[in-house]
Amino acid sequence: MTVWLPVLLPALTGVVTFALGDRRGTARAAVNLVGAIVSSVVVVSLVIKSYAGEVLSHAVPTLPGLDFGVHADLLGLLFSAVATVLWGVTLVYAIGYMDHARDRARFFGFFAWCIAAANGVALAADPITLFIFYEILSLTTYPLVVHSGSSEAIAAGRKYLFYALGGGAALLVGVTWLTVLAGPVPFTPGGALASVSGHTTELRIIFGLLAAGFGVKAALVPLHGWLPGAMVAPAPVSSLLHAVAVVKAGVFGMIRLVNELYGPELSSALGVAQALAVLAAFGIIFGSVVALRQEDLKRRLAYSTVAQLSYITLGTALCSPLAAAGALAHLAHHAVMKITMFFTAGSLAETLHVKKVSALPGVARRMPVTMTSFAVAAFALAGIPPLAGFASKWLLGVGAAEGGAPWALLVYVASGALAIGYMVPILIASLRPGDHPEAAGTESDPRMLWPIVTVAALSIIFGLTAGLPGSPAHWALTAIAPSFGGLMP
Amino acid sequence: MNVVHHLPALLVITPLVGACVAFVAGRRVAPHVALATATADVVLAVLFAARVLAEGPFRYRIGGWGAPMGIDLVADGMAALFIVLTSIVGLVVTVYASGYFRSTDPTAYGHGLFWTLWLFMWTSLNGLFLTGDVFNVYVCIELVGISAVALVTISGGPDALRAGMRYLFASMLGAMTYLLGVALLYASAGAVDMATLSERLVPDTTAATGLALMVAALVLKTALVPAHFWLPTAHASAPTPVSAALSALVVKGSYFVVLRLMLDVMPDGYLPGAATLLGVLGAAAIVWGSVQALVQTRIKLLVAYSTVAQIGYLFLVFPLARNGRDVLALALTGALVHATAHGLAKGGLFLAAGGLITRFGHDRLAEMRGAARAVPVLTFAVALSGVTMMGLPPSGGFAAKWLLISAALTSGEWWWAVVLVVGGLLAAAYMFRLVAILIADAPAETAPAPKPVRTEWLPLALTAAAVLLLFAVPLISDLAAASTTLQSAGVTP
Amino acid sequence: MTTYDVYVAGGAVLFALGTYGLLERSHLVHKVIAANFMGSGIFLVLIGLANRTPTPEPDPVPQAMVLTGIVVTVAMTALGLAIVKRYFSETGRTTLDADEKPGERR
Repeated sequence: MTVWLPVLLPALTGVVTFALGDRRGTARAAVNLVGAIVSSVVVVSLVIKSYAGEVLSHAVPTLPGLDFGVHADLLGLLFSAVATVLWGVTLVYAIGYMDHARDRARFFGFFAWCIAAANGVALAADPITLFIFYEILSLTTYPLVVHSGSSEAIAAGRKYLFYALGGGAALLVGVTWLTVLAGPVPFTPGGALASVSGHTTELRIIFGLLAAGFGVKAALVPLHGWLPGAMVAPAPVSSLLHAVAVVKAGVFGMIRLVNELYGPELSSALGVAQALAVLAAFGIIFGSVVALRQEDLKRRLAYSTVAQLSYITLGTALCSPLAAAGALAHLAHHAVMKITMFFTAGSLAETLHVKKVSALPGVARRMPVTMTSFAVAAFALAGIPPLAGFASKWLLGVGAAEGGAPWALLVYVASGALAIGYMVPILIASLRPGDHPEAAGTESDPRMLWPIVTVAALSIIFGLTAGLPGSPAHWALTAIAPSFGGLMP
Repeated sequence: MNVVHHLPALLVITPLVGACVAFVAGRRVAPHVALATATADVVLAVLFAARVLAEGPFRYRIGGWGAPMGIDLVADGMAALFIVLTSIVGLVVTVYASGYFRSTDPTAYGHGLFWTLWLFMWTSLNGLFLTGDVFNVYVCIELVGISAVALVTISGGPDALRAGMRYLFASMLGAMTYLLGVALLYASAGAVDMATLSERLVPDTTAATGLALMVAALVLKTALVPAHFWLPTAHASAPTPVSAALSALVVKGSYFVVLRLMLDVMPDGYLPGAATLLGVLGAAAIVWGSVQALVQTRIKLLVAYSTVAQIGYLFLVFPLARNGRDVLALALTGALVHATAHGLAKGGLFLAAGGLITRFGHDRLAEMRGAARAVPVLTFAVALSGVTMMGLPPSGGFAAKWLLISAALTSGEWWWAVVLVVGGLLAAAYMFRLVAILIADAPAETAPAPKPVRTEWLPLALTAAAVLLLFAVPLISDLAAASTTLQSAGVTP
Repeated sequence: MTTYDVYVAGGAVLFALGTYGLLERSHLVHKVIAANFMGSGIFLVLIGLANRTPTPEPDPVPQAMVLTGIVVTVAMTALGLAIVKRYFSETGRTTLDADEKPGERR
């Protein structure tokens, strides 16, 4: 039962938060922080067990011939750890950010439920369980997107749901069809469909349905339309959900789909991996180019997310061990880098009411620590060594070259250049002299400042420790190796 | 005398005695009588289901007479499931009603009769689920109809009376058509007992016409499109606890008989085209009901049209059931899970809608903007019921959809799967329209609750049960396996 | 033509008349009475059936069904008439049509 705790603890935290109501702010903060810390401890203990080779699993019988089950393997735990630990950091930020907001019980309650659902997606032992948590994640995110209740937020929420439920419907059909075709198919490193590999046409269509379903949350172009609009949500939501939990649930689904459901061999043999790779490559270039032209800070970050998520999808679709590991490592690395940027954007909007790139001048002087953190994350994202982004891009690039897809290497290099193109202007603009009346060096609320510094530091640490056991890069290599027959470079 | 042996009879007698006592006891005591009866019925229903699960289907001869002269009750898994559902929703409705009729004007027309009529309806529903004889079905369905019509008109207002009249005429037309069918069937087969009928039924115009009339009449009673005209106004004009009971339980009563006739009494392909026609009408109901729900401006009408749409899913089982016993088991379990999930969720949704109407003093959706802040519990209940209506996990609606889609894909009739998926998206459209209105940022002018409203938690309890129904699916699946339908098809649990 | 056929034919005519009346007449009392026509038609068919046994004793089952049916129909009729009466005293109307003026008779 321990293996259910990463799902149950945040879910319980959410229930208690709702029960406490809107007034008891201190109790709510305490409950949520304790929930996040205990959940993190549980996840870390599962990681230690899993590194030692002990994979816990548990299933509850539900539908005939179908169990509702989770397992704590290294692959899933990487995503679970990222979501749970960053939940704690984001909570501190959110408590500061939402200080005077309304409906805080609703906000923090659904926030905790989102993490429960994301952990469920991470640990799901089969496609059906994954689908169930994936849909719960869609539903629990909706109240957060429309939190302000403004007509703009309601419209963005409607769009989000339109995409999410459409993708969910594709997933439902795909998963049902697969189960009818092959029976229960628990995730297995290297693929679980060997017995039915003869049904090529059906398997291709099912792959398309599943990839479309995951592609919505993974913001795979052309299914990315909901993401920029969903930025109307409060900053902690954009940070944790639209940089970490929700979108990563999509790419994580892709990783499970290619590596542990179809398996790299079958995926390339069917030609579906190549098709996915082309789409993802297009997404990288498209997202980066559109990001260049965004004047609104959060929207620029959103399009950058579109591009970076496609990095992960492309790495997965290349079906080479190093690229797949790079993709998984980038899932964690991009999370800490992008969350730093969204935290910063939230602080600028909340403290200085700066939302546009053109309004940035003077900001660096006013909030030097915040903007330094942003700069670290921006350079990491562009792939400057020895920061986190470099480590994953190195793996992705080497994997692309090894996997016989040198064109993908070109895409990665080009997009690195584009990332510099849309990040550096932000830094330059903020360094220009501007007129912010308060004294230089006045940062935002410390509850919002320290989380930013923490996640920025993680971008450096993850890069520097990339070769050591326990770092995301090493972890990813260990977790992905079984899908490729266990070879370990 | 061992009580356990007489459970089927007790399930009918208990609410009947309760109804009589409530009538005599008067306005003050009646709610307590009803609560005691409801609690007793829950206990009996659970014991009954446990016995069916342990022993499999059995027959109970009322008074020891036995068919054909006497009346037999048939106790199987399907009956047990509907009886348990009725008892759970019934208990919640009873508790809610004790608050509802306390807060409204006690001298209002007919309110004193609610408890008696409600327990009568419960009696006849239990009778309907247990009966194994097509003529007794007629009697039970008429009794359900009479008490339901009386309950709809209980407030005595012109709108309620008009809706009640329309409901009564639909009811009369249905009942008479059904009875004509029974007469023709008896003329051909010389029996009214369902088990005997299924043995004696031969291809014969008289019997086929009779069965066709019976099914058509039941379709009218279940309000399957295009025979749904009477449902929205009847369900929307009734007092809230009545609306909940009608939408959650009463339409399931006549549907239950269609299941018995189509799957138990008639052999495969007895009425050629009937199964497909019912499936097509079901699909039409899903689309038409959803579209109508999308354009309603009054909350109870929206909920009532959602019932019209959700009834459609129940009829998809018939075309699927002809594809061998494995698909039959999947499809029937799916339909039963759907009926259960919808019963819980729609009961909760109507109670929540009623709560909103009480707090706002009107039922106009456009003026309910921003209700979430004033009535968060009710809003949450509405949202949770939406999860089931849309068929999203881990709700019972999802489990049902999963089973029905599996049945459709296994049988190769994939187009029913398309209907199921599209239906879910349409449900999302109307449910999120409702939720978006409730959570919009606008000052909501609700009447302050006179005192903490405990009954606001009841709809939440029902809808939460529907959302977590996935985990009860093994139980429902066992009950489906203990139904006469699957037992005679040779499906082993 | 046997006695049974006469009953069936008579019953069918009554049932058809009743159905027509229930669907087409707008006066509420007419509708209630028409439904009773339908019932009587069916009862005729059932009574005729009792005669179709090979033994000289009539089949008791259809007769029991007719008796039960009469009771149920009476209850239904009483409820219908009670609602019509209440509806008339509330609105002054005798039909369900919304555009009809109060008190007008058809």
